[in-house]
Amino acid sequence: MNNDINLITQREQRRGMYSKMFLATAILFGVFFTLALGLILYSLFLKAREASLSEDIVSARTRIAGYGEVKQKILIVTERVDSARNIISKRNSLETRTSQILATIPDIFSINAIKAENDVITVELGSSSLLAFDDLFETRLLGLAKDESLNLKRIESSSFTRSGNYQLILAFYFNI
Amino acid sequence: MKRELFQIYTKYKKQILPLTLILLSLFIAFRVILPQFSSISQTNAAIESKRQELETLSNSIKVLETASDDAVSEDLTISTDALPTSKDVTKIFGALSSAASTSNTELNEFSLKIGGVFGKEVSPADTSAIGVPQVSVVAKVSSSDTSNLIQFAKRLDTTLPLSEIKQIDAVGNLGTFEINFYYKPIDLNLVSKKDKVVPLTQADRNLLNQLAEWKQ
Repeated sequence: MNNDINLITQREQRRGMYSKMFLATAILFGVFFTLALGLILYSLFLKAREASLSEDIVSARTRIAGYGEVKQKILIVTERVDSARNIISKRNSLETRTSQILATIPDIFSINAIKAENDVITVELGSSSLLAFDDLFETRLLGLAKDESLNLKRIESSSFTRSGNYQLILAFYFNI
Repeated sequence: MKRELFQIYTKYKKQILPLTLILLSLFIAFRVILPQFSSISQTNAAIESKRQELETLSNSIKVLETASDDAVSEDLTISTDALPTSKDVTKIFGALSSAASTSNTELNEFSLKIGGVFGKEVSPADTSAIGVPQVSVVAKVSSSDTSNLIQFAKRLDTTLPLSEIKQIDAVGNLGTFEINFYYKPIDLNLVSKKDKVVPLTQADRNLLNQLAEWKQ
């Protein structure tokens, strides 16, 4: 038997190849067309959903507008409460710090002057007893310096004089 | 020429249809499918955003439905006492007098820098570091006892309108206080545009109770 004999003509072979090619491209086109159609329909569905949500939003806004005065009051209160909290938490508490300093000074001293600013509080005090100053320096001020809530940076004695009784000016510096 | 074209057509006519289908497929892929993916992604994002907005609005409606007008009005009164809507000299004087009387001191005089009287926006000079407008007041207070002067400052801290002592200068029985009183104008245009209404938290409620105590 001769294997070289081919009963299918070249023309028929080509026709078969063309048919396969046509089928493959037709399937490809069909897939792309179906996918495109599906995506368009899904997109339209999403757009309809978006439009429905937009309508719901408009309707909710209209309902809220009906509560106009109460809404305004609540919004104003909320805003003011936030601002009040902010102010209270950030106030420098100058009077509290001054009061804490004065509380450590024994009653034997007279407070002649106080000057309090954000980062420094100066107290001018006097006493006729030198021993009272010893107690102040060695015990009271050391105790005050250990109080971390005060956030003290340093304490300086800017002058100590005697005019009638003893006069001392103390400056308390704070970390701000 | 025509004949040549006819010959080419006859030779390749079986390839033309598959080629057309391929070109159409490519057209659909690039002109329809890819833009649709992008459009769907955008629409999904818009839907999510609108859904969240609707949820916020629904929650706002619930808050408004359950809010009692009387209770809200009371909260509004307390909050505007704490932060007046304008530079209210009467309220400032009231706070200084109240602090003086409860600390056994005497309010000798006070002066304030009014600044801007009218304007749709608060002048930058009037705005504090906290971001809330303020009025600077200098008050002169006297007392036989220096500690009472400090007590005056402490009382002022728990008196409405809210204030902050910037400087204390006490010599003998006379104290000079530099005080910032806070206020907050109401921008009704801005308020009416807002639709998000959230209920007061427990912390807000506690603060309002504290402010109500300070008011007394």
